[in-house]
Amino acid sequence: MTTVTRFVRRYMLPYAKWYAAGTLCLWLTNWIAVTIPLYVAEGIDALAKGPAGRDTALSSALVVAVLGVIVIGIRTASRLLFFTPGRLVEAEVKHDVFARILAHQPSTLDRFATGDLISRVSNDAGMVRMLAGFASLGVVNTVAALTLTGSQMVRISPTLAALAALPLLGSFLVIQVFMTQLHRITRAMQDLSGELSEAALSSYQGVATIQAFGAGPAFEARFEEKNQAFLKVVLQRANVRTVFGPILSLGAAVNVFLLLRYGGPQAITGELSVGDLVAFMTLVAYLTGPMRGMSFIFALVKQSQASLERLEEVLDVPLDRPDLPDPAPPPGEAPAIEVHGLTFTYPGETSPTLRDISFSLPAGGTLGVVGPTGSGKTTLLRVLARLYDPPADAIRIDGTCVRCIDLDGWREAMTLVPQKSYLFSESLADNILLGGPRGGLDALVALAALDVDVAALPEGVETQVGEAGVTLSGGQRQRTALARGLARPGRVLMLDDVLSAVDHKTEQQLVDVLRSRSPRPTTVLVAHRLSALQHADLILVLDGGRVVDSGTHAELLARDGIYRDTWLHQTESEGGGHG
Amino acid sequence: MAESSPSVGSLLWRLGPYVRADAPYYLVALLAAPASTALVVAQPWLLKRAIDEHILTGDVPGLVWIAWLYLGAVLVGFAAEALYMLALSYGAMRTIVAVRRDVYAHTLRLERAYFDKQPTGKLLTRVTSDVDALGETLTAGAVTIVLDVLLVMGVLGAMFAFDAKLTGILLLIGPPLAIVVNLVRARLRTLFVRVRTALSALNAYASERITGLDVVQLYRDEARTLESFDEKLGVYRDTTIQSNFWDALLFAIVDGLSSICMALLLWYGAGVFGASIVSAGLLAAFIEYISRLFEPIREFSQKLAVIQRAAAALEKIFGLLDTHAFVPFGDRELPGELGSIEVTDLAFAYEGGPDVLKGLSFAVRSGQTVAVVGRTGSGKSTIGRLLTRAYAGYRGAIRLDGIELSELTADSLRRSIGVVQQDVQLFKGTVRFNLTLGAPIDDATLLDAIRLCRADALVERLGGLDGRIEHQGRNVSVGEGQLLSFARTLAAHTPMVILDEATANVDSLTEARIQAATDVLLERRTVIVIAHRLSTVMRADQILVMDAGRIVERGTHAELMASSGVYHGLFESQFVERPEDTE
Ligand SMILES: Nc1ncnc2c1ncn2[C@@H]1O[C@H](COP(=O)(O)OP(=O)(O)OP(=O)(O)O)[C@@H](O)[C@H]1O
Ligand SMILES: Nc1ncnc2c1ncn2[C@@H]1O[C@H](COP(=O)(O)OP(=O)(O)OP(=O)(O)O)[C@@H](O)[C@H]1O
Ligand SMILES: [Mg+2]
Ligand SMILES: [Mg+2]
Repeated sequence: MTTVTRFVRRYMLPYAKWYAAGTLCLWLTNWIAVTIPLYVAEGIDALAKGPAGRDTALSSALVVAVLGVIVIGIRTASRLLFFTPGRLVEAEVKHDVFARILAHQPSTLDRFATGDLISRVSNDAGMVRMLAGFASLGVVNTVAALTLTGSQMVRISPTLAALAALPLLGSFLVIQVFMTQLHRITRAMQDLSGELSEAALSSYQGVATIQAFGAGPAFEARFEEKNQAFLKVVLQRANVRTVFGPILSLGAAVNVFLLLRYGGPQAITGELSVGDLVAFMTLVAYLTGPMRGMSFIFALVKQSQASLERLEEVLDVPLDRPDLPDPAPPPGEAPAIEVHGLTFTYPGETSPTLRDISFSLPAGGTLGVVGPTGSGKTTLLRVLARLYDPPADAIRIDGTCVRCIDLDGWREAMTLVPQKSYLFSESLADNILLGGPRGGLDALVALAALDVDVAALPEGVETQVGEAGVTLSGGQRQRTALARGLARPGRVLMLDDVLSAVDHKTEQQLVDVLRSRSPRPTTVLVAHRLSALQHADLILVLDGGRVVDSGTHAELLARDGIYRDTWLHQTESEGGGHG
Repeated sequence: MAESSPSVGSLLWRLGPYVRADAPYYLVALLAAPASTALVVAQPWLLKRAIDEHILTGDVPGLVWIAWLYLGAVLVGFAAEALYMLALSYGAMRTIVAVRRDVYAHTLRLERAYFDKQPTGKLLTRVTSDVDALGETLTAGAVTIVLDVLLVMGVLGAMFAFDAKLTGILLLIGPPLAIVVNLVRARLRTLFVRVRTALSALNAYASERITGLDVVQLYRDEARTLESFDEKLGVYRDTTIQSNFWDALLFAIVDGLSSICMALLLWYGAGVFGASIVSAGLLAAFIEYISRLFEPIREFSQKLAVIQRAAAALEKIFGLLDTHAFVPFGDRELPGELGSIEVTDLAFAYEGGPDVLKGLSFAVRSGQTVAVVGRTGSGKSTIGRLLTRAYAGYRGAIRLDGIELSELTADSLRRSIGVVQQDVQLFKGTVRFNLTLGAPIDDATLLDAIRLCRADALVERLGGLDGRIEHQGRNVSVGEGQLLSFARTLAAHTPMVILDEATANVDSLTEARIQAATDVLLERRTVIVIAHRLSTVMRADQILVMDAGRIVERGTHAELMASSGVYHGLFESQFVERPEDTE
């Protein structure tokens, strides 16, 4: 149960004061609750004495009323003192999980589907609240009741107490069996919740395709399959909980029976003192309540354990970006990039996606990357940006191993505009600036050839773009992403097939602007249209993850190969090509 | 915050059909609940009798008899309780699974314009957390509130029989109690609705940022993201804490009031209310009754809180189910294979926006290929979306074989028009599922389409048709995704195909090969090609050049090149490295 203890120590212990105050209030409430009947009894007794007792009765009535009012306040406080930490802890857990997700590298997060992650943040973190709130209140209540009754039982008769403990121990053992089951089932249930969440999210995100293909029923069937699997485990859980719930109190109740059946006759014959037996039985009978509470807590702990495990899978997996004890500073100006024998395999894949890639790009130089679909262009950029970490020493930035550079610093120093542009549901301006300063926004918009579109939008750059930028056209979205990249003064600039979104004139303009930027960043351009690469210092031709050719535009055109074929095709398809 | 909430009653009433489907379970729960309570109450009573009447009097046979009776009560009570819990959970879980199914299916049918405005993470909350919250409250025994009410009435009846006047006085506590409880209840309801709203906003934000995590990380936007998340989290946390307060208060008030009732009773006994002094015995009985009376009232008020939570969840769920934003379809079928498309004066605006199509007219004959070109944002994809009826509400006419598009059945339309969308969407699952999307298409057809789209090497790498595609297609490259998406549309064998930038991210050589391979296949189909790269459109029977929602030029490649207009300019700019154009 280390997950639970870890959780208690990490999240609940800081609220020890709250819990202590809560316990005090709870104790006070209970004390008042037993005091009130005493005063009521006093009042009744006084009244029984006739008119003489009227004043006493009136004053006890007053005490009862006042206590009643006090108990409202204290009881409210006692519950708040337990439940509020529950809510605070829930929020802390949510914060921590989300922050951790933001910190994890794609190499770690690839294992999780987005919907599943959200389920962890939302559902599992919510589950934990029960542990910090309800369960803690329950524990205090139960422990108090148990120690009180238990100690009295032992005082009356240690032997009887030991005997009475036996059935309870028995039911504890039985409960252990169910505990493991409950854990397994709850885990399955939480996992399925994650799957349901992912199934729903991904189909909502893909609704355009689903509707265009009339695939609704197929997706409903897929969802219903998971839904039914979920039903199956929750019903299993209901079965287990049904036995689990009352079994401890059943143990206590059976105890009472045993005492009546076997202890009773002994008491009558005088082998046992009647008083002791009676007192004992009353105590044992009283135990059934706390016992029920106890099994409720056990169930809760087991269930939250499953959720805690799911949270720890995100929280406690070490970051794939180890904090170096002594990280190298990021390059201060446009660096030289040297790649030597880079082979890279995506986590979980069997064969490498990049194989033995080597090149060296001088500081401020421009690298062009071309190659057929799926040849590894994007992967190369991802590795350079350390979205996935390259093997040690394969990539050197100004002679320093890229993995030795402080990751945040490296990300600050370089800018990658990804091939698939993702926009957030905020204004166009916010999407471009991402919290950065507003100055120069218009120039950026013009640079990314977005100015005509912005002019046509109802609220210009303040237009909200909808989730994932749905309310923009495909090209507008891509150019917004481009503007976002250009907004950042990187010392390394990498554009992944971004120029495909603009027409040739704009492309030339952009290439010129990039070339004339000073200081000029070291630039990596992935492009399908070769005209964008004519001025590159070095062009890599990738195929199947390997560099099959490299050189300048002129060099590559001079020899047979993919590059020349592509060039001929791109110029020839309009009839009669020039080289 | 506008809070014209539907009443709890009406919300629960609407849950009726779901509950009715599992009525036997709820019925069993309703029957088992009082049985179990009765047996639990019987146990201390039996114990008391055993002690008073048998142990203290030395009656061994009677004692043994009572002991067995006690065991019986314990076991039957256990069984009744187990039955109650089991039936209740079964009913509740079956109910929520049914609700979840309906919410999901309903959401998938909503029109695209609705999705444009709603973050998917918010819709996600409806089908997950909201439904779960409903389940929790149903299992917490919301149904048995009926029993509590009955019990309260029963105890009150008995009290009236004893002393109507005394009971009448005690009932004075009723109206203030009702008012307080009702106030707290209303407060709770509002807060719970706010909790659900805050939760869905939080989830929507998390979902969006996790989906676009690459961007967040690449642009070092983590701090700002976490800040916004915390802000939304703060709203959620504070609202839940507030709801806790009222919840706790409700519980405590009912508890405290029972003491105040007892005080009233004593005052009454002392003649403060003008009555003659009553017997101590009667008072004792009443004290007993009051604690009995408040037991179910306490339960009742607790469940009242629970029900508010269910009502808040239901309000959100039914709010979604009541959204009938569907694209309307007609009831006519296309007579045969699709013949012609005729678009007249087509105009369209997205909700709340300006017209993005401003009166287009064109006609496509069966088997023809029409290309649409023009600058980005000029409305090309919008034409495709209207033809596939992703959006309704266009002005003008779109006729397929003379039938207005809106009069066709959804089925007929889907069978006639296939589309490769600009945004490729792949789903976690097998390659086969991603290509068929559940349609009955045989493997041979699929493999054919895969080959034509040059995706055979890819599919082989993935492990054939049974190979796995990861969520959001993250284990294939962007271009590869386009190949699969193309294959998906070809495999559907629709007589009309819309290709919206179908190969925009594919390299030129592969693109040319795909073009060559699919030419034959597409020859007899009606094709609308939307493309940036003019190399893909040159051979079309007709080229429409769009600008700002209008067709500004039309004709064949040769005709348009001759006229030296927009198209000519576009062409020039695209192939600028060749100064002297032939043609
Ligand atoms: N869902 C939407 N809601 C509101 N406006 C939209 C929506 N989709 C597109 N628009 C707007 O409609 C106009 C036309 O968009 P459309 O997607 O048809 O352009 P397009 O010609 O296909 O451009 P591209 O070449 O970039 O794909 C654009 O100005 C765009 O901002
Ligand atoms: N996360 C991943 N896990 C496993 N395989 C991947 C992953 N991402 C890409 N791949 C595979 O690695 C190969 C290279 O992909 P990459 O995205 O680098 O290609 P690309 O050259 O950018 O292609 P495109 O021109 O289509 O953008 C492809 O075969 C692809 O299927
Ligand atoms: Mg790529
Ligand atoms: Mg488009």
